[in-house]
Amino acid sequence: MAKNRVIKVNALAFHLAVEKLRELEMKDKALKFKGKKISNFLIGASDFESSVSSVSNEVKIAILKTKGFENPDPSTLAEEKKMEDFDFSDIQNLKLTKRFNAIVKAHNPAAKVISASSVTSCETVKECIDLVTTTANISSLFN
Amino acid sequence: MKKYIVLLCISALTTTKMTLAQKKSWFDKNVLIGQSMETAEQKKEPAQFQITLPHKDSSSWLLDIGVSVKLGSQSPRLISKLTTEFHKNTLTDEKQNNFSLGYSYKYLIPGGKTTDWFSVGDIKYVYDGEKIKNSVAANLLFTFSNDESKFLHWNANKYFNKAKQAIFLSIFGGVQIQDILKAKNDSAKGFIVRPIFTPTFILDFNSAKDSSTVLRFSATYTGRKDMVNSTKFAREDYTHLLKAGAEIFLAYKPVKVSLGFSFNYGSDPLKGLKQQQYWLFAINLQK
Repeated sequence: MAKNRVIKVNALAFHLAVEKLRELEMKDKALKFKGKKISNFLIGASDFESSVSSVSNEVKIAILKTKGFENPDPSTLAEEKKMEDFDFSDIQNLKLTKRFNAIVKAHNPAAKVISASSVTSCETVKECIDLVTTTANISSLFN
Repeated sequence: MKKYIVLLCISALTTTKMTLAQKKSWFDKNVLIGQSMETAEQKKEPAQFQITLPHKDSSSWLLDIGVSVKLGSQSPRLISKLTTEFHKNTLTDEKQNNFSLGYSYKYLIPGGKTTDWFSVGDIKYVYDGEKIKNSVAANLLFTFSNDESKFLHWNANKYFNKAKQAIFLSIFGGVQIQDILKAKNDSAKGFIVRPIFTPTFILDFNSAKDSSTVLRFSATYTGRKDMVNSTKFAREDYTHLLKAGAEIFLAYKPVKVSLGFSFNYGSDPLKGLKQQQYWLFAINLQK
């Protein structure tokens, strides 16, 4: 087999596979690969870190697009930025909620839906990122 | 006759001092205080208040305030609020004394892709203290949003010249229903249906440093016609209200300070604002 081969796996499928492995590892301590737990080996070999940072970027792009910026650069938006600075109308908050739910669904089709009230309660960009990450259940992969 | 009004407007859009470490209170998160809680959203403006109490003459008032309280919902498509408004103006040619209390909503209609459609409406009790009328009124409007088009954006900014300028456009259209149930003058009782539309245009000149607005020109026009009118008064026919103005933003922190003037021309029958025109100069302070 060629080295450095990249296999694309659905984020939710990967998450479920790792959870199943962890259940098995709890029952059978001998389940190891190269001295490591198989679940940890898989997480180490994956690009999950970039998957989480991708959510952060996707959320930032959603916010900037809703404000009206075209082809926005997420690195220009600080996580500490207050949401009230965007001065979004209710119409824009509903559009932003739709965008956040599209991000959640892309990462985890089985995740629950984010309400517009939760989005309008976010005080900073970071709180929006946390809301989307938590709802998509991505952070649990690192626990 | 023209009238000029100079005002100092202080808004309590947020009232509690907040640092990064402090969380917003329930009040700050859910209560909004402004000049009006119009169904067709326009630019947010602070509440206005002025009272003059002369030694011998009668007092004069200008109070334009709207308060809304956000209602919690688990829906991703609905934002709803309890709203109340009070408008009392004895400074202009035609006096206004109007109170309303009701429920308003904004709903994202399913199925949109790059263009999303919204249903926007309210139902409220309205008291007109000048004509002594009690009404139940409702607005059912529609608007759309598109922030991805190459040409024009709707209900979002369209930036130009490295975000140094931005144009905001919106248009709301629908119907306004007013049932005047009780009135001092029996002839005023009846049912009115008004098709209504409200376009808004805002042009911002922004700071090159952080895209914050330095100078804003805005215009909002509302046109309506009483297609159905069972009151015994003369028909309203086509009525309109134009608000056009400019605002210079002097500071954003620790409080937002702006200097603005607006030209107001027309009427709003539901709000008890009779046909008139006046200029309004204001210093706005917003926390």
